Amino acid sequence: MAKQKRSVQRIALCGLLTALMLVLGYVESMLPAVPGIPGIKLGLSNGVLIFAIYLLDIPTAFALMALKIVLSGLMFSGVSAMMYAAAGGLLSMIAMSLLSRVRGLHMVTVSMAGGAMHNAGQVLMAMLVLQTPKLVYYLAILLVVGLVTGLLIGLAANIAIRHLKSSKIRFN
Amino acid sequence: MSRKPFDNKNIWVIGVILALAALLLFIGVRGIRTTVPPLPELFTPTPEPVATAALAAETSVPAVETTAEPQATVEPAAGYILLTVQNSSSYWLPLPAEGEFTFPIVQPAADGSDKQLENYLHITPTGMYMESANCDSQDCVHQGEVTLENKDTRILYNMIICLPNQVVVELYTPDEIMAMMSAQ
Repeated sequence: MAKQKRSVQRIALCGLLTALMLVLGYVESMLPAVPGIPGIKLGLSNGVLIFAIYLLDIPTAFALMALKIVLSGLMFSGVSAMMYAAAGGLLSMIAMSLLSRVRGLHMVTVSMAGGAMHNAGQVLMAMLVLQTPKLVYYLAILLVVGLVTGLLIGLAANIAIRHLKSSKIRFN
Repeated sequence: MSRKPFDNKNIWVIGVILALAALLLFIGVRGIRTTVPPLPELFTPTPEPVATAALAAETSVPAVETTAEPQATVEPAAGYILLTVQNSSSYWLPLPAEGEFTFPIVQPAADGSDKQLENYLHITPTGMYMESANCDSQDCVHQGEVTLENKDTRILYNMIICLPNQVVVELYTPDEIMAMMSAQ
């Protein structure tokens, strides 16, 4: 009985987190684009994924990422743009889940790596689609930009998770 | 907290990513010049009312463009634009000596629907920019202008890319083309 209650709680929590990620994705798409660097995004949804990796478990985090990619693709950016987000999200989740298991790595570093890998995944997918190796210069720039945005998201997530851990709410 | 706020491993991870970025930057700046696109062919304009009207009315595009037989050009244009559509077709367009015009790139949609994929490339004697497009993200329009002067310092180097419509336009100088052809 308690297990059923916990799994229902988990479903409700995942629904909440997915809705949060979709709203964050929509908000960050309303920010003005940086002229000259197309395709740069703040990656606010990574903050929610960091929360899921650290306070829930990794399969849940992967499920949340898949949900977010499919739903935000259907609602906002279009099916053809989904594959770039899928490549970026998958690569970033793999990096973040592997790095979070390494002892001694701070949450901010994991988020930085996740942000960088997200951008890298998107550019690699673009290079694959366009069959051009010339985007490798752009990949280098986006890796650094991803590190910076990951740093910001990681700092915010760090503060939030620290407070959530010390509160009485049980996520497991 | 009991542990140190910033362990060495963190610096390692960040350092690896930064080193990877630096390596890719290096590869990009050096290696970009050795990729070889197909040899230049003379562009023969397909019948397109908008384009030919614009061409006839506004520019003094060299006669090379309207003849069907290849001729050796005595003096090369200031630059050449390589237009690649859906990575299967590529066309070379020389920059006009004077005047500017908008070059339409219209493709049928991949899923067979009626809506066409349109990109309008504005070409000037010194460079080019994407004037408008009907893709959703409009990234190509915001990519700015590629000119012979600024192409080495741009983030996207000499390219303007429309990812949803799979259109890539690059601006090459004649020296780069000679280097590519001799490297082939």
